[in-house]
Order: sequence, then structure tokens, then C-alpha cells
Amino acid sequence: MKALTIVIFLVILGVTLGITYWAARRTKTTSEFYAAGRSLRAHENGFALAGDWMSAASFLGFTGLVALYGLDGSLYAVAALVAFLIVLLLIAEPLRNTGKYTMADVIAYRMRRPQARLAAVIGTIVVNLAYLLPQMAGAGVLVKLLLGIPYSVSVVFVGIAMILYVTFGGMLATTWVQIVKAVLLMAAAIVLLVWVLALFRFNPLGVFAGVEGRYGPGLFAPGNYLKHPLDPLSLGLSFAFGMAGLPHVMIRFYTVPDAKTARGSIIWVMFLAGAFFLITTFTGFAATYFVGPENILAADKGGNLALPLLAQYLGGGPGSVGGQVFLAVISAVAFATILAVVAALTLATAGAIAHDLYVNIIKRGHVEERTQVRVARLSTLVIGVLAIVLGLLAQGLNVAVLVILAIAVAASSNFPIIFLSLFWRRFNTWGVIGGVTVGLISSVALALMGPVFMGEAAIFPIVNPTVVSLPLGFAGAVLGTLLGGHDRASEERFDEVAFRAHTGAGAEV
Amino acid sequence: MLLATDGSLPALAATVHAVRLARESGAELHALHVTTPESDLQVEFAEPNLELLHVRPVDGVTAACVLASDAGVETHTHEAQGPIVDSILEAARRIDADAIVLGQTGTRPFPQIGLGSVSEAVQSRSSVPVILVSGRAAEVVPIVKEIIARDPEAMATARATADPDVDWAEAANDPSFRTLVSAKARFLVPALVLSLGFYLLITVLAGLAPGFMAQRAVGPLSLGYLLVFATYIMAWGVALVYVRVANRGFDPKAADAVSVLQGHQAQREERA
Repeated sequence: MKALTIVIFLVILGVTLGITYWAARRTKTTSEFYAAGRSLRAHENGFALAGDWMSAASFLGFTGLVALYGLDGSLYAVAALVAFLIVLLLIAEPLRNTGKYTMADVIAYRMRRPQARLAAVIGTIVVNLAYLLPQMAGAGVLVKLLLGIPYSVSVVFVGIAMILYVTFGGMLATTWVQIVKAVLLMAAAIVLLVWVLALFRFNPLGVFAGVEGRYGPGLFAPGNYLKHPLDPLSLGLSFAFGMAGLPHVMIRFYTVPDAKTARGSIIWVMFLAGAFFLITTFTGFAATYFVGPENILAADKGGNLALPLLAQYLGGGPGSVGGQVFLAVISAVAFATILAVVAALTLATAGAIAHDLYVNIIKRGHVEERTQVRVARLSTLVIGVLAIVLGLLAQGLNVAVLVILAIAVAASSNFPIIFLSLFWRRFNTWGVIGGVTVGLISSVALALMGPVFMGEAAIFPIVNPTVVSLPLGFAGAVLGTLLGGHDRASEERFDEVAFRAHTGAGAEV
Repeated sequence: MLLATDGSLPALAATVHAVRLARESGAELHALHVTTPESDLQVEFAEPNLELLHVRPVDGVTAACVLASDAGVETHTHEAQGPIVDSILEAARRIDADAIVLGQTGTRPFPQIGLGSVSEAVQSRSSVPVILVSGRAAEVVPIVKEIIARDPEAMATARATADPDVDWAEAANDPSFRTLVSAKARFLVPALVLSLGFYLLITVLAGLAPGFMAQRAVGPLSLGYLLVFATYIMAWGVALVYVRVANRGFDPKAADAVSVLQGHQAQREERA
């Protein structure tokens, strides 16, 4: 049966490398490398966005959280959908209209000083690395578990695949790898959902009744996972605003021709990813009902293997042929998920280093087109190697704190400066620096003092620091602006930014 | 110093020369492009001319901006519409130019059939010195190639920083744009407050009133689960309504604001 798993893994790898070969021949200019030539259609970008957001953390994690903790897990899942509503209403269209390749472009559009761009670059890199590391570690654990390959070998393997995708295929390959993975993931989720519902005679409430019959109504109440009274609110805030500050999600809006298409692609992702998150509630409870919490906990303390175990059960249980096939398929889909997400993160980070740091800050924009693409590819290679090294170092470490950090920093440091750049006339370079500094330091410090890192001895009682660090990030941005004094040039440019952001006049094509 | 350019080979040669002169004398460079019914003809003549040399045509004003910013010369750009010679002379008067730089052979396609070349006409009618630069392909082509190879962004930035002609404050305060902004605010503020408020209220209740959220609502479903499912419906509903409102209300208003901006630009050029 291990042979079957390996075959499925190799098929996924082959298909994605084939996509990369196809995409590489269409990726020559800077705009093609970073933004797929701005040629994607709404449904293509929508699927890819859904892929970005349906990471292994949500595919495996949400199901496990629902299976073990019930309502608290479902609160997690729905937070991700509300997040896209914020992106749709506030961020996506202005971003598309004023940016170019990276998150920092939007900031630098108003604040022409290099310090402002540098602050945004730091926010980008910290968020991306904090997001990348747990994915690498997750891939290592998953491949080791399924194929028996050592952790270090599988981390190197994933790293090399991702370097190949991004270096040669740029945004086009990254997008199509995401699309393939999103389709696989949706298909797997729907098959599991229909199967589960069939076992309950297609009565959705039957799943709940079944769990209640066996384990009582405790799972339908809050507080099983989120212990502190402010935990659910803090989590909700960090997801709702963090999404609008995740660089690898934001750069997706540059791949479409205009703001209207960006709008359309969010509708796609909200229905795709939203349906997917809703499904995790049912597959999660089905795992509770059929596999049992004690078996899920025994396989993995975080509950991350609830879904593969459910698949194995539905296929006929451990040892049976059907069970093995199902397990192999679900695990391979999870593997594809990790590959696609690390590729997207690498591309976003390479953009921050090549486009922001090298081209715009060091060279002040005076870099030949051909050199820009070469620098972008080179920094992809560097990020990829760095990710492999960090992934190797992360073995056995508690990387859960990093998952919280990534989204908390995105919400507390990146979201305030993007929001204020777009909507506040007075905002200036000092505000950008103040927002990034305070948001970054407070969320990192509070996460490290929190229960995930320090356990029982935690100084700060709330798991996710956003409920405190998001207001602090905004306060830092406002204070920096006021202390920095009036920046006439930035204030005058606000008219231009506002006009372009809302009308799309002069947007990058 | 006023430079009249249309991106043709002689004009680019003039650009190179003008930038050098401006740098040496510390002058500001004003790059002017004149649109006339005749300029359609010019483009047809300019392009094959460059393409023969395996070079794509460039936008003359942008090329001037790029070259000038490389040399550290302050640049302003101007667009004008109307008869070429009159427009050049008018612009020179307006900016109080000390000299006019032009590419020789002019920008009119048929000097040989008696229409007279632009450069000669400008030279004879101008009250300030006119510097005519003859286009030598060998000198200009490598520079043009370099400009083209340059990142389009550098060209756009060079253009944007040197583009004083768009009055964004006027555009942003125009009623057409204010209508768009207030229409968006009227929809977005309540939509955000209600949808985000609804979701955050659930999270607050889950944290502070777990007993309330745990009570049975529909069959085995707790009130908490009912509210979570309602959040899905709410988020999808608000998103669909927004897209409808944006497509039907905001997009046409945005198009109005842009056309008003373009109208102002055209008026300003006419006045000029």
C-alpha cells in the first residue's frame, strides 16, 4: 500500500512540474513573473485564492479542531470567511488600483521615502516566514508519517519542489498549482461530505444528533478549546483583519486585469472556501462519531489527523484496501496543499526582497527589466534555501506559536498601515514606521508570553495577542503620524491616491 | 529650456542633446508633446523609421523624463493640442523658456512638398534661441534601446514625478468624485459595522456567556451553532449585495469621475 501512496505523490509532483514547465515558457517579464501578466480571469484567481487560504492548517486543522472541541473549531473556520468580506469591502479594489507587485507598493505609492517601503518589507518578511515555517515542518511530519521518509529528507524535497515552481514558473505556475490543489481539495471534501451525509440518511442535523447521542451536547457549547473569555474575540479579530494583511493573499489581486475582476474573484473564493469551511464542521463531527476523540488524540495531539483517519474509516477501516486507498488519497491532497502554499509564500517573499528591497530601495528603481527578473529568480532561490534550513532547524520545536504569530502580525502591523495609507490624509512615513514597529513588537512579545509558548506559566493569558496588539498597532501608526509632523507631499498625494484607488484611473495594466 | 518631442528619431537625438545642455547649464527641462491631427501621420512615419533599426517606438516625453532623471535634471512635462508650431511657441512663452530645442527635419512629414518644416518655422518665428539637433542614428539608437530595456516602472515613475499637469486636488474635490465617495461610504460603513459587529458579537458571547450559547435552539443544534451557520449566510449575502451595488452603482460613478478628470485635462490643454 505504501507503493500506492508513493504513486499518488509522484503523480501530483509530475502534474505540478508539468505546469511549471508550461508556465516557465510564458514567464519572461517582471509583470509575468510577479503577477502572471495581470491576465487571470475572476474564477481562476478565485480558485487560486481559495487555494491560498485552504492551507493544510485549515484542511487538516479545522477538521481536527471541530472533531475534538466542537463549536470552538467552527468559530475558527467561519472567521476565515468573514475575513474575505473585509478584504472585499475595504482592501481588494483599492489595492488592485494602486499597487504593482507587492504589498509595500501600496504604502510606497503615497510615502515616497524608502523608510516607508522598508517598514512594509519588514512586515511582509516576518509574516511570510512565520507562515512558511510551520508549513515546512508540517510537510516534514506528514511525509514522514505516510511514506516513512526521514523528516529532514522530506523537508529538503518539499523545498526543492517549491523552488522549481517559483523560480521557473513565477506567479503563473504558482497560480495553477494552487488551482489544481484547490480542485483536488474541494473534490475530496465534497466526496467525504456526501459519504458522511449518506450514512446519516442525508439529514445534516443527524450528524449533530449522532454526536450528541454518543458524547452529550458538550461539543456544541463554547469554551472547550478557547478557555479565556477574550480568546474567541481575539481570534475573530486576528482572522478578520489578518487576512487583509497577508502579503501572499494580497499579491493575488495584482494578477487580474482590473478592480472589477478582483471583486469577482473574491465572490468565487467566498463561496468555494466558505463551503469548504462549512464542510469541515460536518467532517469534523463525523470523525468524532466514527473514529472517536480518543483515537484522534492518540494519532496526533493537535487533532491534525482526524480527516485522514475518517477517510480511512469510510474506506473500510485500517488494514482494508479501501481504507488504505482513501488514506493515501487524502494525505496526497494534503501534501499538494502544502506544496502550493509554500510556493505562494516564497513568491511573496521574493517580491519583497527583489522588487522592494533591491530594485526600489537600493537601486531607486533604476534596474533594467531583464535584470529585475533575474534578481527575482535569484531571491526565490535564496528564500527557498532559507526555508529549507529553517524547516530543518524547526524539527521538534513547537511551531504552533508561529501560526498564531503570522496572522496576528498581519492584523496588527500590516493591516493598520495599509488601511491608513488608503483612507487617512494625514498619514505619513513616521506613521508607517510607528505602526509596523508597535504592531510587530507587541504581537511577537505577547505571543511569546502567551499560553501556547509558555503553557501553564503564561504571563499573558490570551492565546492570540490580536485583541491587544491590533489596537496598539493602530495607536502606534497614529502616534507616529502626529509626532512626525505634517508631511505636505504625502498629504497632497492623498488626493491622487484616493482618486485612483476608487476609480482605477491610471492603474497598472 | 523647452524640448519639443514626438518620440521620433530626430526628436530623441534632440532629447539627448537637450538633457546634456540642461545638465551643463543647470537649467530646468520642459518636455512638450503636441497632439495634432497631423501627428497621426507622424507616428506612421516615425515608427517604421525606428523599426528599421530594430527599435520599438517610445513615448518621447517619457524618454525625456527618464534621460533627465538619470542626469539629475529637473523635468516638467506638457501636453498640448493644436497646430504644432503655434503650440510650441505658446508653450515657450508660457514657461518663459530661454531656449527651444528641436530635432531637425522637423515633425512634419512632407517638408519637401512645400509645407515647410516645423523646425524652420519655429526658428523663424521664435523670439528665443532655437537649437536644432540633427538625428544621427548611431548616436541615438543605443540610448533608445537602453530606455526601452529599462523597467517600465522606472519610466512611469519618472513620468509621474515630473507630471505637474494633472490637478488631483481638483479631481478629488469634483462633485463627480464626491458623489462616488459618499455613495460608497453610505453603503460600506453600515455594511461593515453590521456584518463585522454580528460576527464579533458572537465571539464575545462565546467568551463571556458560554451558557447562553450552549442552550438548545433547533433540534440538537445549540444557539451558538445556529449563529455560526447564520454567519455563513450573512457573509455570502452581504458579499453578493455589495457586488451588485458596486457593479450597478459604483462603477458608473467611477467612470463619470474619470471622464470629468479627462475633460478638465483637455480644457486645460485648450487654454494652454
